[in-house]
Amino acid sequence: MTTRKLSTKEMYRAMVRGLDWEPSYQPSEAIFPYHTFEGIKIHDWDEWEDPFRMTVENYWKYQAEKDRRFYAVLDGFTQGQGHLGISDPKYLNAIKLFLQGVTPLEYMAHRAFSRVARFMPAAAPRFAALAQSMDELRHAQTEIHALSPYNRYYSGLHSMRRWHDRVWYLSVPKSFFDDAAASGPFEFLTAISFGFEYLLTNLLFVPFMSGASFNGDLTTMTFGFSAQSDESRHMTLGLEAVRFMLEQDEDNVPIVQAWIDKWFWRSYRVTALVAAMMDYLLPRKFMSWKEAFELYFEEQMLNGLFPDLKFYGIRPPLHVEQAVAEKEYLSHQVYWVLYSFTYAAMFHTTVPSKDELDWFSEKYPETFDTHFRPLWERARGVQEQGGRFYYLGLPQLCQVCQIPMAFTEPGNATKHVQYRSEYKGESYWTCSEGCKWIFEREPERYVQAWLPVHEIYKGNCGGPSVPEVLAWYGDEGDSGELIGSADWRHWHEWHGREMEG
Amino acid sequence: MMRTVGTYDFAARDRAEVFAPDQLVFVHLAGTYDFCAPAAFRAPGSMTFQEFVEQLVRPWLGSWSTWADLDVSEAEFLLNLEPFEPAWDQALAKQGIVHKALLTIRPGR
Repeated sequence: MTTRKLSTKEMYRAMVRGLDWEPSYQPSEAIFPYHTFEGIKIHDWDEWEDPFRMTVENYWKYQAEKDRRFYAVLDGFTQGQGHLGISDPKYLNAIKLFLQGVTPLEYMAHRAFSRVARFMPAAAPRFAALAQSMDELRHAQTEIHALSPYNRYYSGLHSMRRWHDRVWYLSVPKSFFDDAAASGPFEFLTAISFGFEYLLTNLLFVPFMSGASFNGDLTTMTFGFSAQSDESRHMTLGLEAVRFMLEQDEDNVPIVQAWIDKWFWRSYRVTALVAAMMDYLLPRKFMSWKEAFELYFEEQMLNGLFPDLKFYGIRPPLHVEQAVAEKEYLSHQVYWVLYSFTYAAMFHTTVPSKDELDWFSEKYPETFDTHFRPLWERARGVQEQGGRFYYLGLPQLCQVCQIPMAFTEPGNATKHVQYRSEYKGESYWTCSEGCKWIFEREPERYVQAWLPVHEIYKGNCGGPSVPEVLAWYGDEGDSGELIGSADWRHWHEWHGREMEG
Repeated sequence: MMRTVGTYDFAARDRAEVFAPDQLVFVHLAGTYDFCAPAAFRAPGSMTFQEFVEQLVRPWLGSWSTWADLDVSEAEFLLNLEPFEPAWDQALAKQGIVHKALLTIRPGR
């Protein structure tokens, strides 16, 4: 008797879609109560395409192989004192930003995709979401493992979960993801799988992973390779979910368009932190934020993806022209924010070196010398006199993105954008037309925002003063100026170098 | 309007009564990027404008030695982006500087 091996397609049909059944003890809507309230109309779930045709068996096989390779590299790194490879103590702060800001989102993604995997009423999206849920858990774990070797030599890497929940700047990524996870399943897929993963993954991933590669951080780079094939599957899920909704019913088009408008802007605002990291925390630079934005967003998305979506009646996201205008100054403004409030950031910043300032002048000829070089030169002046500029106070935050209200009008790098909305007799301030539009569309949602500055003033963060807040964060010298910090000292000691200032 | 599975009606987290008799006041020094964003202060509604400037705004301006001695009385003011003439000896709340109001200081008339 000969046994014939099933093709991938047959295997997928049998082992994923074929394992679904019609419930008989309970009505379907009691088992799957959450896929209709958003207004999305689906007529035929069999139209859902999964180009990867992944089954559980394949999934384990691929992931186990990737884990074997990843942990082999990690062992070699630890035994070979791989931590000595990093280019400069400044680079450690890119690692911290990743661990504090991104890794907890991977874990949240694991949870939120589990929910989609439970509540979608068809096998194909349920399995795609289940696979992604497992990916995200694996990413959270492997990121922690990739960065743990540095924890033996440097500070600021030991308490990321606590900081993600507490530290003011981390409320930006945290509130973004909580907002998405609190949506219905279709909006969640549009928010995270499409808005974040499809539109902007390259803008998040490439800066961190290429940044790691250029700055001698072998373990983060290896994590990046290990996650890459998962990321392309996640992007595909995002595009497929959107295409499916658009093809199923014309009434879905305006709903999906509004979600794309909202989640493009929400996601883009989170990448502001990446912009600052990319230009300012990578001692060896490979590309500016502006160049990355032009390549990965303007060229690949605005000129590549959106012309194809026009067929479905979808146009580019609202407020995209503001994002394009901001590429000239976004990274400088956000790093200026981080520098100003480093006294409570749980990582370190410092004034860019002379060479870096020149690099910025070359990469940002329209804005840098006029607006930002003078600031840095004055901050350096303060530092040379033995001081350190800090913003002595707490900033006003945007009600939606929760970033300090630091953004300016296009072409005018000192004129702040300030929008006021009124809801039930109170004022709400937003940093941009995008955030204002999002607030006014669903004020019920955003009036509940946990804004760190307001919480500090209520006494909910250990007490109303900075030392009390730092104690509540668990700061053990993890914030403040880079030069002279424990990291700075340790890097020079491990490398056997004199400490130049 | 939000589409939700059930009733969705929650009080605003930072509504005035949570801070009363204090209130949050935002202060923006316009025309410069020395301060990346406006500041947020918690101040009693009964505090006079003079006290507010000297006790809360002044130390903040002191972040930069160049702004520490700014003659605030010579500045032009906006309240919630509209022209505003402060009454220096009057309480904040009495002159419309209420919870989450934005006061803009534009140095040198």
